[in-house]
Amino acid sequence: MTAAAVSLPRAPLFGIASCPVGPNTLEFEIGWDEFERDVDWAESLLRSTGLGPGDLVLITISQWEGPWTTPVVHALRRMGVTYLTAEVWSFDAKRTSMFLQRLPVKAIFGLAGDTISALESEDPPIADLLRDVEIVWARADALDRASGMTPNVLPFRHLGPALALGVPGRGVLVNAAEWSVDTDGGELFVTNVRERATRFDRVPTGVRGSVQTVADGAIVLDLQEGHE
Amino acid sequence: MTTHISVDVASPSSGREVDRRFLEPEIETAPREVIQELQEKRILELVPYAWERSAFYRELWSGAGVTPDDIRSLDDFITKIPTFCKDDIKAYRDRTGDPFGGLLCVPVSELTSITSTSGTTGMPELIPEIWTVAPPLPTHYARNLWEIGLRPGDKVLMPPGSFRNYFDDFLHMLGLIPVYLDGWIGQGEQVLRAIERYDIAFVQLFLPLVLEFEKLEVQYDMRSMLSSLKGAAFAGMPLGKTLTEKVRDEWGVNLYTYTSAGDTGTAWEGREHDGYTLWEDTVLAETLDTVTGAPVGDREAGELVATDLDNWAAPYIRFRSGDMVRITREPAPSGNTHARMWVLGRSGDEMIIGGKPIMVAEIWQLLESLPELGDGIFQVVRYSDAMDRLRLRAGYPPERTGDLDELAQRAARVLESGLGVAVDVELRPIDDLLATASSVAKFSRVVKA
Repeated sequence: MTAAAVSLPRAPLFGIASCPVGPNTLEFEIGWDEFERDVDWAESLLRSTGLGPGDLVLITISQWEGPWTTPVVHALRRMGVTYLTAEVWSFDAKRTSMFLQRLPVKAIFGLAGDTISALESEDPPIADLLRDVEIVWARADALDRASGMTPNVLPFRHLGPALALGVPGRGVLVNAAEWSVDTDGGELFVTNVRERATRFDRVPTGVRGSVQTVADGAIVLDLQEGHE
Repeated sequence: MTTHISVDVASPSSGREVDRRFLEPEIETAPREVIQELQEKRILELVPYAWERSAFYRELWSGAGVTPDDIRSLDDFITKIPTFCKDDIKAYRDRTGDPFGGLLCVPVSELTSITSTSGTTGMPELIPEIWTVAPPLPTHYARNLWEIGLRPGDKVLMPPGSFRNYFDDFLHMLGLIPVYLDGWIGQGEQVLRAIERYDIAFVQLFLPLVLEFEKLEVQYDMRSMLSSLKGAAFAGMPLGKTLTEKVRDEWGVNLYTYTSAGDTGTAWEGREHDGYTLWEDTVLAETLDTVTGAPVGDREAGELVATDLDNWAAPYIRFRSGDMVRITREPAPSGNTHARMWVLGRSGDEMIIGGKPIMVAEIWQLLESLPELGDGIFQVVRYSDAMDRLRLRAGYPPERTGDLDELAQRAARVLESGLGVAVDVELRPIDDLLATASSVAKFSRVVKA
């Protein structure tokens, strides 16, 4: 059925999204060019972690997170990684457990506190399931809880419209070619530095932290976790 | 903070190309003999392919004394290749430790993604996938969304659930614009307002969302708020007659339900809402008598047995789905020539209570006749193999319910009169009952005590 679609006109946008800004919601458009650049950045970052062809990565996200996560999914596909899908909600934690029991999962992307809670008292418990997983990109509510279970537990954060990802040995990174990050009263603010479909000018992210360095095309953040 | 938001970013395409009724008219309206030739060709490729690569099929077919050399026609296939069910996969996996149950036909490294079945009745089964443009499950929706009327430039609200893979690549394939918005349980008002604000053309409804919309009726003109929708889809937990009529008639939404095509894909209603279309270039569908295993006639009830025709990763070949269906191969009034299916229930839906066979659908119909229970949220409690009374949990809307004892007695009387068996009714608030569901898409109608 994909053949028939080839002749159809391309959508003018990658999509329309929103993110919370304080008590309000910021709506924004995502263009194709910036999406492709986001995939490129995600790919370079993920390759640097050692992931490659034949690896299995379990992803636990909701589809509305696509503006932040689809670049990661596309990057994994480019790299020849096979990805596995489970919901982020607690009711579906048994699916995460099933994948981790049956397959040699090398990394998890988007692990949530709900999933940890749901599997803590199950058999096998989450600590056993994570033991052989080499990298876990965890949400803020899962970061500390997973840290004792496997060595490389790294942040995955929506930073307003931008994406912040942890990389072993480098810290929490934001794409400096696309974004600048500054702080005000301990809160991180993002501004786009390259043209995107929507212009962002010091968008408050609700995430607390500080900017450590800007080098090698990346902004390195020090996050104060526990703040969604 | 400066933002640029232009909600009206695209005008849906126009012109002859997008005005056509069918996305792929050549195959969607193909004569029956062309469909059968295509099916036979694929079957004759599939059988030796699976024999060579799948340990499960080699074992199953060898046990039946069949080899690929015995299969030279479609008729050979349906008379000689044995059927199997999920328990057979599970048994193979338990015995061998193979996570794919012996079905996988390629190295794991060649897979693009691995999803899994819903797992309503046990641990989910793995679904290995190989694809390039968009994942297989949503790709199967392409002709159906076109039939609903979606065209390039239309906006679609992304469904929240992700366990059967991500849909944005598929929407982009059709030139559609995804709107990424948290539409999970509790976000009903946000979803409703987004549909109006963005002129959303299509949304995937699920039962909790419909119930949230129902509560919003007092605040919003639902018909106006939902007027941009060309259609909405519904699957998973069935929507009862009362709610279906509310969505279609009161809210003015053209609701398209869809169902599983024997775990090989999905089957959707067309514009006539007269049966689910099975795309027969992707699935070979048979209906077999559950006792004799013999094929039943056109429109006669039987179990759906499905064979994947477009899955080279881990095809299901003569899979007994457990779905009781009727199928016809008469062309639809639209000119679509593919089979249409009506679902009667699951083979396990029939229960013997007080010595009488009773179907879940019968209980549903009776409960819906009571205004307070019209949402059709209920569960039969299976407390033993031989039940002398029907034990039922029924969900009521607290805001529309007065005397609970009176309602329970009235419900019991209606059920006893209609079914001819003794009935115990336990009432619970709808939200409490829904909270027992193992997933947003699956609400078990029969539960253990």
